[in-house]
Amino acid sequence: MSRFARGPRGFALAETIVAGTLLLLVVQVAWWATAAQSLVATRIVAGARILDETRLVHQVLSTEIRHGESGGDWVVEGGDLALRAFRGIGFGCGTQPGAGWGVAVAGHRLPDRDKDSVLVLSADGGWRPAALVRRTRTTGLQCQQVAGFSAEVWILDPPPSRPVAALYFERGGYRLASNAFRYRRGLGGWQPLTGTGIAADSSFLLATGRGGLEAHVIWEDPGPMHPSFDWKMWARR
Amino acid sequence: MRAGRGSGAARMGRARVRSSARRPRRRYPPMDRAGASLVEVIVAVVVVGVGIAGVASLTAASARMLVRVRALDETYALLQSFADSAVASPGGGVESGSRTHATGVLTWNVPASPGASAWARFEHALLPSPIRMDFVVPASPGAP
Repeated sequence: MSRFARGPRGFALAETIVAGTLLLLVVQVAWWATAAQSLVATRIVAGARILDETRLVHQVLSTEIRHGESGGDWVVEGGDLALRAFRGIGFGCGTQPGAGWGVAVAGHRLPDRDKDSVLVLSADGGWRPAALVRRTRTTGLQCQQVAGFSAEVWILDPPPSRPVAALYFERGGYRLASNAFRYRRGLGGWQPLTGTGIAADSSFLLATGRGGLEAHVIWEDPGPMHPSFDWKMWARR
Repeated sequence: MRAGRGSGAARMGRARVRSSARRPRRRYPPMDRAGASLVEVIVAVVVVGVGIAGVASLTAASARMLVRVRALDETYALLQSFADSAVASPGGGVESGSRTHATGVLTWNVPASPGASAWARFEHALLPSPIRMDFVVPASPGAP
């Protein structure tokens, strides 16, 4: 008879003690590892969100000021960026209607006379603002055949003199306030474009020389990375 | 009562005697129970350990990816800023050069002649390879 058969009870107790101890150890280590992984994963998700929203702030600001002219199209006052937010462009057509100005139009959205004004480039190289009184879709004009452009007739006030092209825009503003990056159209309310979490007291927008805009964004959330972001943007006009 | 037709308990006792008489008691070889349990526990520990290591590896990879994404964002913002600056003031800067930043080295080549192709490249310390942006400096500022 083997020794296992002689004393199975003693070995069973030893097995139980060893197995129980190891099981407790495994459970404890697994629990600790799960808690640590959860914490790290939460920080990574928060960091990814911060990067995503910072990218949004950068993309929006750089796009908005790139086609504008510092001082004329946008200005920073009291930490707020007030600007002509360009939403599209129109090129004068080869043939013109009897009344109005025929243009081939494309942009982020269609022009809206209730919201938009127009900045008209004349043949003399000057840019002049005008109000968009009426716009109608049209056919039959000889316009540039470019994908995405559609022909329209615009009635502007004042009527443009020898217009070549135009940018249509809405009045808007951006600011870093109340823990978020915010936008308002006209004199409306400030709507958040990001989630809360921006340390608004430490974040700012600042105009630099030669048509530059400097942004300094600090996040409150303790993430796995440094919560401060700085960059400069430049207007091309 | 006769003995051959006794009570039910007596009948069952006889049946047990007969049954054990028909089927001789087998002797199974003793199981190595202690060894088998330890092996199972070790396997369980290894499986759990591999799982934890796998999850930790994924988390570490996510953290590295996050750092890399931030480096890419910084690089893009810097190169975009440089390109916009060069386009805003064509011909105003040095044709080619290099500048060291806190996170890497920026190198550029911007021909003075308007309309020529220009490029800027940034070697971020946390990226495996430099990122290059090509752009065109227009004849005059603001020209499309």
